[in-house]
Amino acid sequence: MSGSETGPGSQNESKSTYPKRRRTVQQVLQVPDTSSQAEESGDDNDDVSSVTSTEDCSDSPNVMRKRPRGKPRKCKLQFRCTNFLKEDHGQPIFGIQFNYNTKEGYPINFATVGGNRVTIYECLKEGKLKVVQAYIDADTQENFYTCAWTYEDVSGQALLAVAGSRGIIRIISPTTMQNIKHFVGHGNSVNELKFHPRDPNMLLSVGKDHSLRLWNIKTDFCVAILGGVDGHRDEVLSADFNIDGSRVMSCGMDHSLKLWNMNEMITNAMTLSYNYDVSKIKKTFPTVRNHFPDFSTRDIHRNYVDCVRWFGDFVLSKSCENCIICWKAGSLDQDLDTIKHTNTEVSIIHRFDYKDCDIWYMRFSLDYWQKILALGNQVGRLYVWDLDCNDPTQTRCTTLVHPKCYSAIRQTHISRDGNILIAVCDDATLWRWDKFK
Amino acid sequence: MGDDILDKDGQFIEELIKNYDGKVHGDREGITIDDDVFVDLVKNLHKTFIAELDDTQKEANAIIIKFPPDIIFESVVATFSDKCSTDDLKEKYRELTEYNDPNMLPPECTPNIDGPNAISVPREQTMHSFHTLFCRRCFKYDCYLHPYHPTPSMTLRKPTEAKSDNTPCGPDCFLHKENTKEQELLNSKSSPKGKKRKTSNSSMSETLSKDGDTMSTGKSSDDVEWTGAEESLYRCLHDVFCNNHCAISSLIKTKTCSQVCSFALKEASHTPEVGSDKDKTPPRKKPKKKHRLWYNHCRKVNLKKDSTSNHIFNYQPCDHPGQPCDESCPCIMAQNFCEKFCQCNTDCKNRFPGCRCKAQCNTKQCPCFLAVRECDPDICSTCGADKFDTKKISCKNVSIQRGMRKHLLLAPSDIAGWGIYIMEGCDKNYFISEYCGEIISQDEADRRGKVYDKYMCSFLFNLNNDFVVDATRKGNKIRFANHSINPNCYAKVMMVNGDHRIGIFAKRPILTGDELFFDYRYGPTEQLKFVGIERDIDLSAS
Repeated sequence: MSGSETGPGSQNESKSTYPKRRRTVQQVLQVPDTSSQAEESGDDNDDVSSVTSTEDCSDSPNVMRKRPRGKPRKCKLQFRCTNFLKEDHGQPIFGIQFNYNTKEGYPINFATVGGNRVTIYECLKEGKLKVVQAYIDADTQENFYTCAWTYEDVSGQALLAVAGSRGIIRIISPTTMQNIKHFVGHGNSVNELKFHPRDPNMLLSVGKDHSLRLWNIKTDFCVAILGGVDGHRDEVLSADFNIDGSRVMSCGMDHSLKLWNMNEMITNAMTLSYNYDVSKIKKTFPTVRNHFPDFSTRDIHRNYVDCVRWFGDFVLSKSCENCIICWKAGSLDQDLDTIKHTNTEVSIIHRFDYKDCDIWYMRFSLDYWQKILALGNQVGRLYVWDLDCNDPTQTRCTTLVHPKCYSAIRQTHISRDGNILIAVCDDATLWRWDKFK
Repeated sequence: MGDDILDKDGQFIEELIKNYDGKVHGDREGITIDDDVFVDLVKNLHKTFIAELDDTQKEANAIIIKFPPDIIFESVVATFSDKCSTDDLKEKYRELTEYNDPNMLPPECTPNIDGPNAISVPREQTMHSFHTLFCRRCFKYDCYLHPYHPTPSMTLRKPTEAKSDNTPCGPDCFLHKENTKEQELLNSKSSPKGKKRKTSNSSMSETLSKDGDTMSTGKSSDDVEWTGAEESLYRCLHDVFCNNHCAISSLIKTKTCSQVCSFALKEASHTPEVGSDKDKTPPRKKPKKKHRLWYNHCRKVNLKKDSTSNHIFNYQPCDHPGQPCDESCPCIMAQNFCEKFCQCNTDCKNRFPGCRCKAQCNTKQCPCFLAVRECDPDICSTCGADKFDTKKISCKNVSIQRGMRKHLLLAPSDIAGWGIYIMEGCDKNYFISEYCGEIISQDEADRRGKVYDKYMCSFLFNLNNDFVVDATRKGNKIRFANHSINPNCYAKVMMVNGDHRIGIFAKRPILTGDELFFDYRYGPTEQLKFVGIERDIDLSAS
């Protein structure tokens, strides 16, 4: 509550508020007419000249650091804006995710969600973008906030999960162009979706109802609910699995970050969810309810924490205080398995500073190999950090600017090969930046 | 949104921070460090300090080598402004570094008598946890609802009537060996109801007389080593069972009753005789109140109901040994009845007498119902409140304590947000559910209420003058019942076995699937803020 007033009031409105009256009918996604599918990307020509400014790290907005001696090292990352387009709904686009599950040689796809629309694009050569499919929710009040790709474990076909203000998670199959299932359970909007890195059927959703839910999307059971007595005390804004899926770190409006280990109870429930036969057992699935996280801290940020990602055993998280903080639970040499819920110690490793990002629900992203960190701010500037070095203080930052890009960049994502970076904005625009040597 | 909104919010935030003494977000101003960090810091400072001493100084000040000098603690205090003195920090450091053995107990703790380190201790020490931490009202240890308040009568135990069984427990039972001087000694100390001694054959009587030195096997088995655990356990059981050695031995299990008997003799010679406390409290028998007294009491109950005072105070068991419950009794001052948990005499005039109804206790004829109390299973014996099987209880005034709630369903409300619907129909005045939540003080409720008002959503429910129930973070389904000016339910704060609890009852017959509402009883200003939506709907519907 105390944090919501940091930005100007109007900017807080960019994230839709929960409408007061409920809707009565369950909606089904429809596919619009196919004429738009083969079209090329919207408005503009492809080769917009890039206005990339590569800055030395000492000039980047970090007042605390000293100027390094010797010749300044240039950031090796260079991007050029190759395309931008505007989605016709005009609503803020809140999410963009590349599909990391496609094999090499196959076309690179990504999905964007904004308003009640889900759009799937394909990246073509020379910066071209092609709209492959678009879905629209029949409920005009729905506002999608997040999406995540997975694949069907038998056929390997891609699946896309989307969710938003209504709190209903939808699974779309682009192959059959249908909304194949939906999950109801969250008491309010869903703020983020993540799939388990090892199990393509386990979906983690976090919501405005202060809880995290783990779903088995193959057998449709809710495997676990994380939250309650010691859970988040306000909206959960983001969560992330670590690299092997054994831990979840979540963060929210209560300024806290909480670590939830996927303990034996939960892994057993995950296994059980595949074999549970409701017709034989005649009881509802025993969803695990975990009220107690394995670690919790409010000492990293002093405002809403709206994005969190694991970085090995470290955690990268940001609030609306113009800083991404890399930190570790416990002391620096302490093994994460030995952390107890009574531990209060955290070790701050590094701070990435930037400017003009005081509104909440602005997400950063890491590329597939966790070497690039990208974040857009509320005036359309993109910060890209090169993390490929041993010393955190040696990270270099690039800012990517385009004169026509002045709206808040809600999320960014980098393709699996690291060559394409897409940013999506509040004015329904989408920006493609390609890496060049 | 304009600047005026920002200013109002800014003011709100400042008030909030003031309410919480500036501690809304951790303690950044006065940097307090963790214990581990503190020990680390002092250790490292100590090391550098020693390293800088030259050899001569080291020899001279051997103490400083062992324990950090004062200057280190003074500088820590100066840097961290920890609001404590140098001496406090020294003590703290000493405590933290001396705590080596994780198995070592803190000095006041008695080792577990079931554990390997059990020692032989007097009864008070073994029973200390039980007496101080066990909550008789919740029947568990360390209950959250009734924090520990030591009262004078805490450690006294009311002695039961010792019923000694005269039948021997087995072939080796000590009762076979009797007519000893020791036996007589023991028996004279026990309750007035003396045992009848069986006369046995003279051959058996040989085995006893002196301290068991005739029969070789008897002697050696009777004089075995008693472990600390067994001794402590014996002392606790002795108070309950007096000289019923058979019962005591069957509980201790590792000692036969004859061994218990010989130990008892040793104990009896060591410990002085404890004066019987029986004189202080009369034997427990049902008070046979005369009809006149009953009538007077019921009238007093009625008068209490009509009194204008609206302040209901939380019940605390009263404890004033030696004095009857008069104006200085806490129960009397709070205008509460004494309950069975009070340490006063069972004849106390302020005790609620319970009801003698044969019917369902749901009319004003029942004194419990009239006094807005639930029937007490220990006192109200005729109405069926003490029956175990909930399906067979005839008393309808025990619903809260038995948890006999209706099946409720959660779904989006017709009015606002979520609503609660009843699955089975019910008649007027039937119990629906208890309004459960966190019990917080009035001050804490004021602090939380300010934030909840901003959200336009509050689950606070006034319980009594001291406490408030807050169902925001913890609660049950009935918290989703919305407010209505024309509700179908009402709420009642009832006294249930010493605790105030909120019950939601039906105001009129309710059909299956109806949404439940009750009157939140807001003041006139809040009515306008919160009920606006309902009025709109009414207008649009009409």
